[in-house]
Amino acid sequence: MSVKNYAPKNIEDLFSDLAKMTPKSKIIAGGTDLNISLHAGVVKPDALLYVGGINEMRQIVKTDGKVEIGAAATMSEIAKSRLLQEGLTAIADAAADVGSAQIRNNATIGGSVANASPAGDILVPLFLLKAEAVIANSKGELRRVPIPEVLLGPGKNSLCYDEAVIKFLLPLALPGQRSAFVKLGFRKAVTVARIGLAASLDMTEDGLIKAAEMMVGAISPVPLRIETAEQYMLGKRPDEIVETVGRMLSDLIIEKTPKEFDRDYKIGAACGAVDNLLKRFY
Amino acid sequence: MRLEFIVNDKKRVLEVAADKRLIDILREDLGLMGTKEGCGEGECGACTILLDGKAVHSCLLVAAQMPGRQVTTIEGLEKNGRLDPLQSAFVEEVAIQCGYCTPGMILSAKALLLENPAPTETEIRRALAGNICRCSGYTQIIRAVERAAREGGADI
Repeated sequence: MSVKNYAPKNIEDLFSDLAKMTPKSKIIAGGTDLNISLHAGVVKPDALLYVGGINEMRQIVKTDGKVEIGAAATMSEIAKSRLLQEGLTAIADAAADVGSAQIRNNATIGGSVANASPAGDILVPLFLLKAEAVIANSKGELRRVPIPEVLLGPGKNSLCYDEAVIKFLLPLALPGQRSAFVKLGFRKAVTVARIGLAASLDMTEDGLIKAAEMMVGAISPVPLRIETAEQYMLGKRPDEIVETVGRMLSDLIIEKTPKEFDRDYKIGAACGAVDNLLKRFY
Repeated sequence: MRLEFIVNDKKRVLEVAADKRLIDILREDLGLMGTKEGCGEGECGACTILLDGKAVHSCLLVAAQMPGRQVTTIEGLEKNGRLDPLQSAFVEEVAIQCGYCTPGMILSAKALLLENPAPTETEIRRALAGNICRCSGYTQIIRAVERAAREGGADI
């Protein structure tokens, strides 16, 4: 049986096309993950709904107190956006580190969330920066859902078959706040994250950390906060805490990462990843 | 589905399955054999083409994503019987051995030069990081891209 295809050009048409979806249907944007499963025959959809033609879903815009990133915005577009700087840099950093140029030109942020890979680079800053997903359904409704409630575990999201994420909302960072993401993999480029690390720091004029948030990906099914480190950093300079924060991260890896997921390598590499990340702040 | 799109500056209208891969449409339906399949999962870069001017994997796109879009394959680089400066530079610098990775390599380089006509070596290496060559090595390839950028002028 041939696969049906729908290609809405605006959100109104998306609503009505979502009503035609069945539990076997798939929403496609860049397709960098889905098309591999399609070709392998692992996924056999009855319909493909292509959302890349919806202009509104490709835009990155600033609105009242937020930056909105369309779910079909590509990693290349996110990496280059002038709106994703200073406090929101972590998300541009992560997008710039995904795969190769070819993958970044095609892979989208919405697809990455839907695919829910434990090693998804962009997921770490989405958690860190408290993103919300705006989800459309077949009844023509929109709802806002915090990212931890969308991403449930490896390959698992909370979206129903007649729902699609249309955009992500990121609260604007406070003045003085900065964020960054670093990735540790087996090669410098085109690599799967073994550790993805992101922090958002607010610092005093003399370089002391007055507020900190830190998140790690690729060591557990979904990204985790490193709360011990967030507490420990307060009142200190980024350059004097590398070793202790590195130990806190390796402790977390010992606790959370199964052995077959390169645990021993990650334990040894934790301090270096923390060093790479904190260097971005001094 | 009916697929209407532009391939190498020519409008094409085809009847294809919505889940047929672009690489298969190019090779089987349009006879454009220059695009090669290596890994089939976006790791090797052999199938790289330009989509709306940007380098992407043709093995990771399907017909449902293609209506109205512009594709350039290796066959589309030659203009009025003259090779693209990148193609000439790959020949001159002997940046080819078996040639299997070459179309993808050249199209990744083309996408780079379209955006950045005077790239540094680091920028070239980053742009080609997703293209794997297992025989000639990368030195000649980088040299060829540098040469095309230097000598290509308005033809790039």
